Amino acid sequence: MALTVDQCDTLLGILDIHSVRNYTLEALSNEVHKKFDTSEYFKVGTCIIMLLQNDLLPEAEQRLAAVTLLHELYRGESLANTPFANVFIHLLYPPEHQSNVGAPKLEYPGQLPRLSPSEKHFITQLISDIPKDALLKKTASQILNSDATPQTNIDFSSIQLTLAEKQSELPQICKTGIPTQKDDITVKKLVASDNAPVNRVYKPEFVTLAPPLLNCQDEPVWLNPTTPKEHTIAYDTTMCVPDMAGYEARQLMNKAYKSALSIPQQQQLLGELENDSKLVYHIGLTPSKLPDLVENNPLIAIEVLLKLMQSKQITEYFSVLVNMEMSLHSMEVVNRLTTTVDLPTEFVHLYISNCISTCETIKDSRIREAAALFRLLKQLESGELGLVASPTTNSKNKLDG
Amino acid sequence: SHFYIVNNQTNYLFQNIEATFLAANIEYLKGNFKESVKILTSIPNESFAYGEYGESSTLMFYNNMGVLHHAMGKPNLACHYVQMALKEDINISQNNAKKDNNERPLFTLGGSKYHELMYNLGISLLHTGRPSQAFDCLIIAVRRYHRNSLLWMRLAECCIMFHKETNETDFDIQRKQKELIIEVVGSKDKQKIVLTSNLSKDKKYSTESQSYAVPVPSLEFASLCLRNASLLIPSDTASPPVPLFLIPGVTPPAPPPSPSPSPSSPLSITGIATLRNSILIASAYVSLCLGDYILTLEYSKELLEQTRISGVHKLLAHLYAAESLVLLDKISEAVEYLNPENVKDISFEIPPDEEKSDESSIKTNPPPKWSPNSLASAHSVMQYNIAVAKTIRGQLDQAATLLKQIWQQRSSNCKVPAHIIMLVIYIELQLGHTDIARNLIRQYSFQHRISG
Repeated sequence: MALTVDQCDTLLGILDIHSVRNYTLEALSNEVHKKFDTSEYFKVGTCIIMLLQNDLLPEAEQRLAAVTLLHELYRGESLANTPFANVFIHLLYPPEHQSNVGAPKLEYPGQLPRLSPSEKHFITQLISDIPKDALLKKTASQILNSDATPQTNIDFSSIQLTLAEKQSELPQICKTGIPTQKDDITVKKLVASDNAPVNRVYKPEFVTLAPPLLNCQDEPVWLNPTTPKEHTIAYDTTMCVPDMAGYEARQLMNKAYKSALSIPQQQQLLGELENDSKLVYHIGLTPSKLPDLVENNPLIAIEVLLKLMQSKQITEYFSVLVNMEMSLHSMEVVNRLTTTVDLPTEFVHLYISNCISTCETIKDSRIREAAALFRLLKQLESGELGLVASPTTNSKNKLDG
Repeated sequence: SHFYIVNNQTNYLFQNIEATFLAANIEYLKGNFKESVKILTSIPNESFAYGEYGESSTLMFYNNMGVLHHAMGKPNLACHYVQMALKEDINISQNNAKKDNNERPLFTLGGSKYHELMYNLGISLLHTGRPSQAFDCLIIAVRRYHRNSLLWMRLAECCIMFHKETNETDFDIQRKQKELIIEVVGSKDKQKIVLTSNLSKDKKYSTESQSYAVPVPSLEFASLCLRNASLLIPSDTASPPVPLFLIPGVTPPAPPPSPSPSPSSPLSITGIATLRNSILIASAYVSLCLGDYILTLEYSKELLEQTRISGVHKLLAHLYAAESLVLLDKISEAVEYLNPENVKDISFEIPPDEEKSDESSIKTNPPPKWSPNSLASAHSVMQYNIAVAKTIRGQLDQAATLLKQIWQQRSSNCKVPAHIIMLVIYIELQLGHTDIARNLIRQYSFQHRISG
């Protein structure tokens, strides 16, 4: 973040007294624009300020040229947006010079040179919004020698406000001696290095104490014997052993959904269901599988349903039965159920209605007639309480006939 | 086998080695460290060999001796003992690896205490002021015990200590004097003196986009450790676990999360409060150094709201809050925090809980060490920071007077911050008194030859 040694030399060359005396401000400005890249303008400006602060430009013309160059670096932009605006304000309104009569003169770190009225006037013109072409075509000497016209009252307070800063800063360089001549070596050391002093500031520092270590009880791990040798490992030998009885029943059930079981198979399945009253809940039967079971193995279906009569799920099974497509097997199942247990009346009514409806749609005329007869019977029935004994037996006989 | 221990008051007759270890444990917890050492050393060597018993009495002996010496405030000896235990553990593991798995009894598998030992070693190393080595140990322990809030806190402390070894540098006037001037440029009449841009090296503002999660002892990693520690603080609603009756079909309510500082013992209510306070203050410090001063203010305020807080933490919370308020441009508020009346003592213990006075008094913590170690020094730090705040606000004369007062208070009991000199120089320069400033620089820096 600093100029190189060669760049320093270039800048000092432009601000050299001979250069300043012989060229117009405009020419000097153009030279700077030619020799330095836009990205380096900030570094150039910082260097110029450092030269001014440290009285490294002995002649007034050099100072005036320097200030002009500082302004011209950012020409075209409004002053408040440029980084060095503060410098111009300080030049025009410098801090107090003398505290008391007789007391030593107050010098501030980083203070800028005091300007004569004509210099101040020039700067006022420089930073205000008036066309400057004529102004810049003069040389520094010409400006200094010109009469100072009464200072026009241009108000810079808005600029001053925008420049108000929160924290105070102090340039790091503290002067002890009074330089008599421009000192090239000093300049380069101060400006051209990685951590250039010209870029560093000192701000008042707080003391930030680090906290103490945590104050904790019983933190490290105390090791006591835990006698692992005395703890014998106890294996659970029944873990992961499959449940054989239930396993076979499940296998048979799975078969029963797809095809008729053989007599021995049926007997085995029924036997196991008989032996273990809970087994019926673990054989993987769900209401959706019931129709397949009824069609393929109605006897098994009957037994299973009888065993499930006490469970909550039975209503689901009933509704499946009711909505099943009417078939010999389904009627057989329902018939057996009615003879063995008390079925809910709504279920029976619904079932009969469905059967009648189905019969009515069958093409066979005799069945249709039978269906009509039974509809009549049913209507008569619904006026009475209870059911006529074994209506399904009758309907079955009629259909067969 | 029986064996006998005699001490002044009691005869211990232990029927077995397990009881001996337990007796030593009890004495440790009561704070009778020398007694505990005596009991431990009475155990015959090699009582339990690992191959036969699944645990090594030698290893346990060395480890527990390390624990005792840590509690006695001798962390270097503690490190030595724990390292011997570690050696034993590594030997055991290597021997076991050579044997065929089928030949070994089942209970000898998985009996390594490596992570516990690394934990103990890390804590002791930290207390000897070797934060980098401590960090290396603890970072291994945390792989196994990653739900231990204490352990994450200690990791953060390693990072903090690595960043700033001790606060004594802030009071080391001689050392800071040498750092006032960076270089002198030019000679004789045309000398330029370049002053330092900061005497403290505390602040680590960085604009590099490097991940915080790299496990090195950096402040960035510390901030992550502290976040973990904070999330893992055990619950302090000390109700014992309620038995869950499982009703079929009903999902039981989830128990409140309460991580335990395993492998350390569970924390008491006081322990939890102390841990929470320490995490808060460390978080405030780390965020302040990293430039995150809004968080600093939050942490400091949260700490000051706790009902039980130690004197040291109160001091630091006020200091950090003030510094962050200045950075937030609220200088009047900051000066209020820095009033020395806010800090009446710099004790390390938190006040006892009025309601629960039956808390067991386990006293095994090593004696705390910290700088500054007098109330007067602490007050001088607060007053110095007030002077800084006033300087920034522009009240240069008031600040100068205050600094003079602080400087005159200095004594063996009252250390003052070494930054005073630099601040006085700054003020004189800002007031335009270049001569006085020059004289001060000449007077207080030895290193460079200054002309005239």
